[in-house]
Amino acid sequence: MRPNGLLDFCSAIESTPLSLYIQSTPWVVPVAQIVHLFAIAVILISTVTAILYATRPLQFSMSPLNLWRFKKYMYVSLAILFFSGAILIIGEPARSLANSAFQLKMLFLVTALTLTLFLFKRIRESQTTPRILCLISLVMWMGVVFSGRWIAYV
Amino acid sequence: MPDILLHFFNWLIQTPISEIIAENEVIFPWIEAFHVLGVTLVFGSIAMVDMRLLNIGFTDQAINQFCEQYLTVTWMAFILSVITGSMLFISNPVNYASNNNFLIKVVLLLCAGINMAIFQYLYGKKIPHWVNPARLPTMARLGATCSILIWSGVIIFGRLIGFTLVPTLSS
Repeated sequence: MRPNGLLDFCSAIESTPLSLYIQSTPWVVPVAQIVHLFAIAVILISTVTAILYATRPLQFSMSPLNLWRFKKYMYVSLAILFFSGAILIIGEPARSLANSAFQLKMLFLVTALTLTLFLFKRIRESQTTPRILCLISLVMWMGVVFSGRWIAYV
Repeated sequence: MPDILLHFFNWLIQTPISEIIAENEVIFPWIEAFHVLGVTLVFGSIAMVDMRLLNIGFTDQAINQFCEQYLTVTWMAFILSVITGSMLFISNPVNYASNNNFLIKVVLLLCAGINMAIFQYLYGKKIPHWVNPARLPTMARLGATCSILIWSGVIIFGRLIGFTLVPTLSS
């Protein structure tokens, strides 16, 4: 989806001093991408932990107190993810905002986040969580990773 | 690069699987996407184990049980990473083998293996008895610190490969 308004917006961002600084400083984008990857790693393992807790395969054991730790890790990682993602967008707005893989990534992100927070809520209320919900939540996060990598190819 | 390796890589690049991965516009990015998924899951699960060994959080959980349940995730993700990483490598072996970031990543992976082997040799039989010690032996904590640093390096240099190598499909 590349409406003219969006492309104009990308051009406007591209000419801001911050964008120009990122474009002319070679280390910013690689560092932001590496930080982005670390944040994704923490979010993925937090989601996997919540799913293992909810579905309890192989006698998975975790105290509720420890599980809430993962929710905190997830919030911190999300903040890092948004911050590093914002740097990447400001540096190369047309490559991201106007890219269909990026737009799909945002869709996956919102769905994954909503489902995972819902999953944590169900666990907190000691309600059983349908396995299919856990599976969809994991697939959505995988979608975030996959579409994120596809941005380079679309 | 030694001639024997160069010959091997030149043979490798002419194999059908190498050509398919290198030339197909869809396969290469998908393999890369699964590789990112595998590596991030390896890092995340190993970081949990290392944090527990260093007594950073989760101290109320028995070390052996806590580590075992994450190491299952680690091994699954590691197998995925090795398979996809090998597939990426055979698509362009000469370029990868000449890339410093790739070589550093391989050395770090070897270090991770050695670190794990030393840990197993020193503490493998003792781990089941580490239910909840206040503090682990210095060498065990050193091993956990090395592990988290090495795997961070794997992520960092792995990502840097993309900035220094001319990839098969994208710039």
